[in-house]
Order: sequence, then structure tokens, then C-alpha cells
Amino acid sequence: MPDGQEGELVLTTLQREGMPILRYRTRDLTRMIKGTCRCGRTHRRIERIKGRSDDMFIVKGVNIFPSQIETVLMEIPEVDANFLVIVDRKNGLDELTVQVEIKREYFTGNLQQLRELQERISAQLKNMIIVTPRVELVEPGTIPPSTGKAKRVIDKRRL
Amino acid sequence: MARQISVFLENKPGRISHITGLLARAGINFRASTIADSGTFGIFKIITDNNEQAYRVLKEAGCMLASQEVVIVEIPDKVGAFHRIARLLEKNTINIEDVYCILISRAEKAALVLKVSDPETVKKILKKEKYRLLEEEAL
Repeated sequence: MPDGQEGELVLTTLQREGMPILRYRTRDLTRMIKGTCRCGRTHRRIERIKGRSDDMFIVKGVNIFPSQIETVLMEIPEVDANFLVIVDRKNGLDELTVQVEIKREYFTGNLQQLRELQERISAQLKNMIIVTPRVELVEPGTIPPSTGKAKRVIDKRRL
Repeated sequence: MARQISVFLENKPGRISHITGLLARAGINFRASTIADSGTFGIFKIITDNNEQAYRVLKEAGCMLASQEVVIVEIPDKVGAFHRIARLLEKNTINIEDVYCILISRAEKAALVLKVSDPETVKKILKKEKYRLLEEEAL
């Protein structure tokens, strides 16, 4: 992979003798960054891990990573970072649904406000992942908490 | 000041019985209820004989809820009574965000629960027309 282009991180140790690693596929997605870091370090670096190559799913021909959805949701104060993605196929078309929990303190009992929030989340997700998802608001505590390996994507399509 | 409790519920079996069960076990009686639904979720609006306790019970059970001020006005159980209130508020260019009707005593008394952005003004308008305003306990 050329520098700057995103790909899977593959490691080979140069100095270990007891247990060397040869072209070990980490399944982590990142890119190489050239140039000097702000801290003064001159060595090439890797970018923050974007996700795992085996987490990726494809909706309407677009590659989507759960981490992209998480990034968007983390910037919306009204919702929790927990989410669940459901991919389904209806009448031959992929459908992407994102379930999110609203934070208790933002609930005022106003329906209009919730609808606006739904639309805002959907629009911001579209900016990130190109596909417009259906956003479903669910009761707090109903999505299993994130434990790192939690299942975030349910694919109901039979391809 | 009259209040209603709004509870966020997902639109699926068992969510309402979860709420009614909590209130029944706490010995709280319903006075009125209605649902505003929006596809996969809805807002369950309730008035009980003890809203303060109801709020506490539901909150402790982990429900997502809010308490909102409403105006409850007594009207006669007669043709046109609802319309007179609606017309009165229209004349004062007041928007009714939400309204539901409760029958208190057949052929005698009913009540309207009104959700408006400025309850104080609405109360003044209704009082001026000699309407009786109710607290939720009076239902």
C-alpha cells in the first residue's frame, strides 16, 4: 500500500528471534503517515485504527465500518454511544437501520423534538457513510453495552 | 398547577403493560391517558391520582420520562362545549399543541387537558370566561 492510503495493518518483526511474526495480518484498518509529528518524532507513524477489516459491511454497494457510525453518534450530545445496526433487504433494496438510545436528561416529552433528532442523526450519518439510514430511537438501557467485542451489526439479508 | 407525565416507549408488545403494572403495584390510579405515536416509538401521556408518586415510581424503574405542565379545564358534557374552548383559544391566537378529553360524569361534566406553550395566559383567558380550572387530583 502506498503511504496515506488506507489498508490493513500487516506486521513483520525484524529483531525477535524466539517468536518472530511474519506478515501477520492484524485485521486493523489504518494508514501510514509520513513526515514529522508535532512532538518532534520523525519516524513514520500509523493513523488511529479506523476499525477492523472483518467488521466491514456493504450496503447498497458502499463499504461501511461500525466505527464510522460510532464517530458520528459520539458527536451528538443527545444520544448514547451505544448503537445497533440492522441491515435488511426489502423488495431487492438494502435497508440500513440504526438504533440509538436517547439520554434521559434530553427527554422533554416533546414528540417534535424527537423527530427532529431522528432526522438530524440520519443526515449526519449520511454525510459520513453516504447511505441514508433509518434512525430508530429506543429506550435507554435496551442496547447491550459496548464491551469492545459487542455485536454491533445484525445482517438479516440472505444473499 | 396541573401536570401530566410523558413516558417514552418503544412501539412493541408489553411496553404499556410494563408501565401500567408498575403503577398498579404502587396503588396509583389512572385519571387519563393518551398516546402520541411516531412509528417505532411513542409518548405515553398519563395523569394519575398521585402524579408525584407516579413520577417517582416510574423514574426509579428506569423509565425515560418528563413531567409537563398542562391546563385542565372543566366543561359541560354537551354538544359544542369542546368547540367553544377551541374557538376561544383560536380567537386569542393560541396554538393547542396537544389536547385530549376526559369524561368526568356522563351528561354532566367533562374536562379538557390542554398542552400549550404559555399555560399562564391560557389560564387567564379561561378564567375570564368563567371556566373552572382543575388540578389532576380533582379529576
